[in-house]
Amino acid sequence: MWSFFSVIILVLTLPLTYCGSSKNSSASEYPYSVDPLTEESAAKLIQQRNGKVLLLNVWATWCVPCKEEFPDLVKLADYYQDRDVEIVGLSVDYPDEVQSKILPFLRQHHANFKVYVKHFSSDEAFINSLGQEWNGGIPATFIFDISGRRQAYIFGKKDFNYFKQEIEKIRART
Amino acid sequence: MSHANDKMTDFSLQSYDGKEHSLSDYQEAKAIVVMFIATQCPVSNAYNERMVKLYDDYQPQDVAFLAINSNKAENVNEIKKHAQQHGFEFPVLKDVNNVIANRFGATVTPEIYVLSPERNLLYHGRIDDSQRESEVKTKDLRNALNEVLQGKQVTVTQTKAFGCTIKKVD
Repeated sequence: MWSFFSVIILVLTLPLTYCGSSKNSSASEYPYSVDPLTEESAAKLIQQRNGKVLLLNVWATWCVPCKEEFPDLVKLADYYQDRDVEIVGLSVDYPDEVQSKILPFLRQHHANFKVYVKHFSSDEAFINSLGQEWNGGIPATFIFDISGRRQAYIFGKKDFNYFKQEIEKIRART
Repeated sequence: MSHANDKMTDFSLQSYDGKEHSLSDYQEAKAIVVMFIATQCPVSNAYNERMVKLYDDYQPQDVAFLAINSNKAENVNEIKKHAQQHGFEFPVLKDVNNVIANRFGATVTPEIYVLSPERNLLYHGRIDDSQRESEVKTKDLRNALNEVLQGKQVTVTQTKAFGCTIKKVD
């Protein structure tokens, strides 16, 4: 009788076990740590270019268009791997949400570029430092040339081709 | 982007219950608070209770409140349900084709404009400086309204915060 029930339980739980493991295997490990970005470290990131153009994408896990745009950024980072372009993400979630929200999202989307989490003394000062015309709406993307000069401010969700075109315009100028 | 003292042009929009509202209806108010909000934006939703408290505190002091939803994907039924669910007593207007958002230069939710009864812009920006109410340090909208009610010049006329982009028609 007990062995009959054991078989039933095993049969019922097998599909669940299978689904669980397949879900885990589809989520890759995120290869970077999600470090806090302060006003100072943001300025350093923008200025210290080492000959690379920087595409800085500001996003959050609560932002639907940001999440929709993210796979195109992954594709972009793949495309520019080993080239003179650096793709960097800045999540404006809270630093205490790295484990609960940011990392699970990055793993799920196979993120392949460095992502920071905002740690500003003033969100407003940071927003203004990137653009007086920027009202803080996300997604927002900024492209800096190899001298750390802001060359593009892109507001709202865009795709791989749009970003690539903007990057190439800036690369052609420098 | 709109700036302090800009004269905003009048508009007429319908609330979810079909009533027409114009800025010029509120010429007797001491100030008009125009709030661009959304039903699905988590940042805007983080402020639902704070918006209700603002209305409860300032409406009796003759401050008028008008919320506007300009998001293309959020229809009147959804706006009505959301407003009722969160106890909004202020009108929530549907801005079809985001005409008024464009006119104001509003791009994000929540985004606030405080106007004089003559429709001059007195304050533009956020409600306060943190999505998390427990971490708020400056209550920018309340500060502006208090100064207006005291007959003073608004000290901080422009503020910014991270928020959701208004999804507009192409």
